[in-house]
Amino acid sequence: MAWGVGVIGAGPGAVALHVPTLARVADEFRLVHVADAGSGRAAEIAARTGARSSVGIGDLLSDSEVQVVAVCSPPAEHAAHIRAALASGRKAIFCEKPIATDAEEARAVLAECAEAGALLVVGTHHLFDPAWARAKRHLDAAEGRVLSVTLTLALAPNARYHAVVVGGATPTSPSRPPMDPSDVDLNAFIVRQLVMGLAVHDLPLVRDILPGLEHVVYARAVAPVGFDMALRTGGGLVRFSAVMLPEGADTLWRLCVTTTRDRVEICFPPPFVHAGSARTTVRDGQGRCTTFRTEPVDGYEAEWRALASLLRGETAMEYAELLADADDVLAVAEAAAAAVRSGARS
Amino acid sequence: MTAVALAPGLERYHAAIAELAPRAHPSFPTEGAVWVLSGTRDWCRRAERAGRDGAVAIVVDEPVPATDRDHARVAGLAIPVILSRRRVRADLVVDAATQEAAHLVTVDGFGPRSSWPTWARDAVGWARVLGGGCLEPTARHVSSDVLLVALASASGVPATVTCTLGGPGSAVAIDAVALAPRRVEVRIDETAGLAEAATVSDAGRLVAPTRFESTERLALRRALDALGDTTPPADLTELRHDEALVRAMAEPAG
Repeated sequence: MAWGVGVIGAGPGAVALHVPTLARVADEFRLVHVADAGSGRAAEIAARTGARSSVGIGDLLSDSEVQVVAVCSPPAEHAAHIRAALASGRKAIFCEKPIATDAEEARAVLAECAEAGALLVVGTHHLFDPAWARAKRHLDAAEGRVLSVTLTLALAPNARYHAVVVGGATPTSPSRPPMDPSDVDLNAFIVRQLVMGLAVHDLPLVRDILPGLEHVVYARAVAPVGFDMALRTGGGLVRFSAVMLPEGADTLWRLCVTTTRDRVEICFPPPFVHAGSARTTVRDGQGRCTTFRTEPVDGYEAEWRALASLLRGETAMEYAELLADADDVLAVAEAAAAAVRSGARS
Repeated sequence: MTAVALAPGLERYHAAIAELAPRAHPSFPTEGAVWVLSGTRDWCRRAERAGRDGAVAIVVDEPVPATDRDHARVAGLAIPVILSRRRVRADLVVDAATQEAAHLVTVDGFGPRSSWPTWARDAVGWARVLGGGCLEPTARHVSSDVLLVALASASGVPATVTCTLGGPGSAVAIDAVALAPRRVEVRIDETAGLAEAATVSDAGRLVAPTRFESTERLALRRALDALGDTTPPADLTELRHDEALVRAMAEPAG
């Protein structure tokens, strides 16, 4: 019998991502309840999926068929909704990234999950992409020291990818204010948000191979919406650059790891789509170039499978890892914002 | 028909001269000839001397980094100076050129530690090309394995060059991307023998045709073309720009 899922939130993350993804893991999960804050979109989702809908989180958390709570609300509400799920006695939670918007809150809510023995998966989907596990195995086996990691993201509008996973219109996220070169504090705020909402997908991978943030070398805002920064972490250097573009080329989402032995390049598919795992290519010092086989499962499906695996007791919860990832992202976000401010004023 | 004089050790240019017949023919170093020089150490002095001895144009094959003072000697010559940089081929630069300003340029370079100033200069060269002009450093980082410089053009295009130093046998690889709705991707991979420029738009990915002309023929052809041009080639100005930034990258922290 599939576990019943109650989704809190009916924005693009629910409509274009987790609701369609649940249909891919229907052998393990079934959508039973959707709640919104009054937009009416939960009812629309419920009408086409056969689930129940409600406004606010009370009815959803009182629904006895809801065994798993999926927190897909705006980021500022994640911690509160995790707590509400715990208070209702739920022991299985899927939370879209980030789990909280400040480090203290993240620590507190994770401690509460651990105390309650709740299973928690955070939707940093690249960490779950089978290509990353394969690349990580390769990096571990090759035993080369990681020298640098570079991340280059050129993101096409999300609507383009919503259109291939949803039949109708998709709700839009509130748009960010445009970057203004003269408004340093606004730009620092936007860079912080982008690190927590976008870089959060990849910083756990970076921490996997270069743990231990030392400092942010520089950070700057990039128009129209983006950031460019470098970090010193785990004895290596990370360059992370991302731009959200209003039109044009399809998304480029590329992570390159250079070690003393070889160079590993991972190209992730665009967000929202289900196009299988990322594509990994390894170039070694002898000139050999190897492309790993891609897997049909993508990171979105894999993160739900990871929750199923926890529920079946096949894998153990690693709260410390989740906390370290959350701490790392928040530390980078704060340091990057500070670097934007100080760089602009130097 | 133009006479072309080759310095010792540049046998590859014999084929280039033959492939440019009847525009060029081999000659001894004489007045009125195009002189082709090796870019090994001291190339600036040899170029200066060639100019004094009557060369009508000079080709320098793979110039190694030099001081700005040495570059200034060559800049004083009133003849075309073509610098053959196989990782920043002039024809590939044309293929990668775009009218659309990039929102951000990223360049990742990898190559042997021993020759890093040379290939890092070429990585910087791609940042200049894709960034649309001269760049100024805004931040940098130096460690024993990685050098990084954040840059910005006069028009405000940000660029970042990251150079990771590999072992002695490492082949040079440069990946450069101009992030824009019409994205330009340049990939230089010496292991794979690849030098490719692609433009990616909402219509798909268009890879510029493979350039089958040898780098030697390309350099020599450009020198011959420059003989009739009133505008001097920008090769030296660009090299000076790129090397100045590499020197800035490597300066000890103040």
